[in-house]
Amino acid sequence: MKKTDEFKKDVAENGESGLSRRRFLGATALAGAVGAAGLGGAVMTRESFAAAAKEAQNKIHVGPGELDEYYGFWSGGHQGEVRVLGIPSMRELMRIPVFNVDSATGWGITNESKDVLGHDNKFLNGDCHHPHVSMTDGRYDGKYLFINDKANTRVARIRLDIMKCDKITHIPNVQAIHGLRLQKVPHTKYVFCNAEYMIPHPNDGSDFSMENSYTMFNALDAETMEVAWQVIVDGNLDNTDADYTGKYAASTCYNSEKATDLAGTMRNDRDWVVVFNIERIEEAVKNGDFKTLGDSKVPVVDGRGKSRLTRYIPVPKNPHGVNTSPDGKYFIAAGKLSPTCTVIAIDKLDDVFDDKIGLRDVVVAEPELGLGPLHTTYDGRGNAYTTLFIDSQVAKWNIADAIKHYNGEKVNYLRQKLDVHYQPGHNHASLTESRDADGKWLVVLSKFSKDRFLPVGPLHAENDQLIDISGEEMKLVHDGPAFAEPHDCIMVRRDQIKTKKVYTRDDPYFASARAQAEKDGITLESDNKVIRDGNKVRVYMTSVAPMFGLTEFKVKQGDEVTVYVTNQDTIEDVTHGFSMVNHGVSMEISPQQTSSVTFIADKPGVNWYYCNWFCHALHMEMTGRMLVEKA
Amino acid sequence: MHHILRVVAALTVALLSLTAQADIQQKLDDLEPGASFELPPENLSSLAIRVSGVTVACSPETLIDGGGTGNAVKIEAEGVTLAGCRIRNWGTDLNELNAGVFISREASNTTVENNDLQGTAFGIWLDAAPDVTVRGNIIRGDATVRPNDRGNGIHLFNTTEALIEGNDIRQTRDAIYIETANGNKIRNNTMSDLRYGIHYMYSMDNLLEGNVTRGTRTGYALMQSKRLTVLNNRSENDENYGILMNFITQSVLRGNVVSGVSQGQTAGVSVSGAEGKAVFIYNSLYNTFENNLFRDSGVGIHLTAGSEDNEVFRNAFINNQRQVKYVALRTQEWSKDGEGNFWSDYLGWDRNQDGVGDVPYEPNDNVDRLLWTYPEAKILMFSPAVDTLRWVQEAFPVVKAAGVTDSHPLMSPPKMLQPESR
Repeated sequence: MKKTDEFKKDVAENGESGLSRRRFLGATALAGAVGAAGLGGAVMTRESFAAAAKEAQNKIHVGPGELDEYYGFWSGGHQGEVRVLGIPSMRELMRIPVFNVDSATGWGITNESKDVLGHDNKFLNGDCHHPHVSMTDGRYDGKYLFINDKANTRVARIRLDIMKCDKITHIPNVQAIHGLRLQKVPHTKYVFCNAEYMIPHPNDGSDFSMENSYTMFNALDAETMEVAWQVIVDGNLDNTDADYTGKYAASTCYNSEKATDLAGTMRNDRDWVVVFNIERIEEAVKNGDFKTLGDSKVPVVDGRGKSRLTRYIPVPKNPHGVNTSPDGKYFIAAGKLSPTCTVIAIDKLDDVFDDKIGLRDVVVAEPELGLGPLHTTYDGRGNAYTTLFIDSQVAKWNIADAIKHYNGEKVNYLRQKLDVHYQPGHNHASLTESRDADGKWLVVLSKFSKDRFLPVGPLHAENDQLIDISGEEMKLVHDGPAFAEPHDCIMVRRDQIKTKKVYTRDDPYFASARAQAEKDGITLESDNKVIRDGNKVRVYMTSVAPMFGLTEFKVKQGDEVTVYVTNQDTIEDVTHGFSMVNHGVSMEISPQQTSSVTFIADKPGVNWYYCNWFCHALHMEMTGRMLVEKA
Repeated sequence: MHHILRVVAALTVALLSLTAQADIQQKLDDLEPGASFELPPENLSSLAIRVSGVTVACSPETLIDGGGTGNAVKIEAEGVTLAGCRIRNWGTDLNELNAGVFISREASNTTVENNDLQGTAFGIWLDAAPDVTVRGNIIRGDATVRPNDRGNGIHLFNTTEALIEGNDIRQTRDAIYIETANGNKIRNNTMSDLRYGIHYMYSMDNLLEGNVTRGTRTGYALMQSKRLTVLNNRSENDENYGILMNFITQSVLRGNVVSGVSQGQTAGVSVSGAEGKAVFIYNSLYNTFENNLFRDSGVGIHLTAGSEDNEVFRNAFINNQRQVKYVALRTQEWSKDGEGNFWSDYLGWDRNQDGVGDVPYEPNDNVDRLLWTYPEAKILMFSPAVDTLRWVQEAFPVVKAAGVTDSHPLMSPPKMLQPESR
């Protein structure tokens, strides 16, 4: 038995920190107690216990200098950006601004970003929930990441080779793009997304009633980012997912009642999952069986009531998430206000569309899991993991067993329930949107952290917890505080992403700068010149650390000045910046990139500019002056 | 010829009963407001009551048979009473809210009492009608249908001032379901062999009193509500949760007895992480828990996620595998005005015989923490090493984990609970 003087030695050893609770309670204390009680032989020995603890630690621990196994792309929620994390370390590697304004990179300030956001865009905010990576044959191809904007009804695309947003599309005649998924097979031709709220048509203030209101399911062409078609539906729309044939997509609905009050949206015992027959929708569009709304040219087809294009499968009760299993067999909808998940067999959908079977006949299981099921994800071994909001747990269950149970066999389908902290929304397992679901890691994104972290005032972080699902039992290994509300994430193996180290000079990202330079007879890679075009002045300069190509230029007060900086460095990670003091101008220029920004030179006199991204020992000296002549 | 005669006979009978049935409905429609009517002692098909203030009773041989579709009885006028009827075989369509008795929005002041209902979809559906009384009914679900395909026994949708009392409900999906319904009284109902006894969401200022649940998969699931009064209810041998409270504030729970909550099971197999919790308190504040008894369950009380500022005193925690599971980082004192709770595993003493222990009870000392994290350590429960840890904790209070402290633990269960505490 450890004597009191040995405890005192512990205190002395810990020195400044004194007796730390963690040490006292930790594995060492227990291992010590076990050893001391002389039961080493019967139960785990101190060594084997410590080894087991260390082994569990190893899997999550990515040491200094080591690389993570997976990329994790997180939505920033209403913060408007996409974040890149390494999994399993959960270290944040990069932020990709999308709907927000970013001072560091100049997103929302530069002309190139305005080419994407729209030069007349007034929105400084966005609310992005669901990040998804493009696929070929149901496997991540690392080309694009797509994400929704619920606040301002948009969809954005990020090029994963440079990890920058290159297209944003506003979806017409709907409000609040929420659920979003990609076509998986044969490849991501379409981005499918739901508009959540029903609005009148036309929505011009002449009629506010629900009778003339509806919402639509939308498909964008992934390459052009134009809206390909829209489908009018009954009720509203929540989340969505696509199958592994390219024929079907399915969305949940929680307001089949078309109610405008809270109580009303809960009245029906079953809302539904609306299944879309993509083949028939494409056919209808091709045959001209569509209308257009307002000034939009997008084909709109009607999927309401008894339509050839849709089927409304009754699902209890205000269902929320819908997720396709990686074997392509099932759409699984989570019941939210019903403690169940509903398993819909995709191979029965052909028959229900041909009216050979009834709507509920496609339901092959409806396991009772716990209170508040929201989202389901998969480990590729036949198990599903569903978050339970009210129970504040994740339930692991077996799909095949749930089907047997539904058919009357006395089979237990639940495997384990794990507490999470607290109240989870989405969860996401590694590679789960694709055929390659590998069942290694599970992230559970909880809405409330309460007291899990040091208190930081009234606004709390959320908690994205990492769980090891590689074994039979789920093991919580990490609490990850997150700002704003990430909603969802997606994990991709590191070999599935191929990035550029530096830009290539023909990158479409700065195509408009190149086009303007050509018109002005400028070679971006070498010229340092000022072009005067009436009261528009275009300043072209190169930058090679630690110098700007022009350290001085002159304009007249009131001129509209556009500065083009071309970074001629070829070394990885030598990003320059450009910031004009007192003008709200800031931008990033990475190696071999051209960036441009426009502002009015309204302050006469000397105005300094400087490189604001650290690039060189003489970075401080990388400056210049704009000389503005008084008007 | 014979054949034709039989067909004619059958048709005639059918026609007669049809006319008899149409007759009954006509008679009901022709009633003067406020009149009384007794339904004849025979099998009737579905009925609607459209005249206000009438009392419709049944003779013992009356049977209202819904014919397998739609509602059996639909009440569409105010002030109606339906009493003493046997009602069977209404529709199975949950989407259409098929019910044994469907009480429409305009049917305020309805009374449905002493009826005997058996069917698949909803037993009695209250569709936002105010001031409805549902009393003394026997409601049975259809045990041959999957639990989630059955309806709820009594469903309160958006009602106010309802009185649901003395009903006996079995084998439905949930016994009593209440959502967005304020100011109702639910008392003295008996519920067993079903999913949730009282499935309760987003409803304020309600009274739950004297109800009994047995053999359900959660006795009382109370969610997102304020100012509930939960008195003298019993949960006996339910699974998963006796009383679950999620985001409940400013409520009073007094005199409830929760016993024998067992681990959740599917097909007889228990699942890890689903231990039976007598009471589960999540994100719930400013409540008073007083004079309750929590016994013989997997966990006596599971308190988590910022559930603070609750008054917990004069309760008895008896013989739970784990008395308190407290998952938070701040210390809480569970006593009021010098009176704490009774803990069956309290090892302290009472030298001055004032009925209050001299040493605080801490269900969450560091040893408990160790046990949660490393359950293998259970084997050491009574070892000298663990005793030492406990002693060290006493001597060096700096190492105490945050947890629940009861500074005035009672030496015996409060008088009110003593009969139950043996």
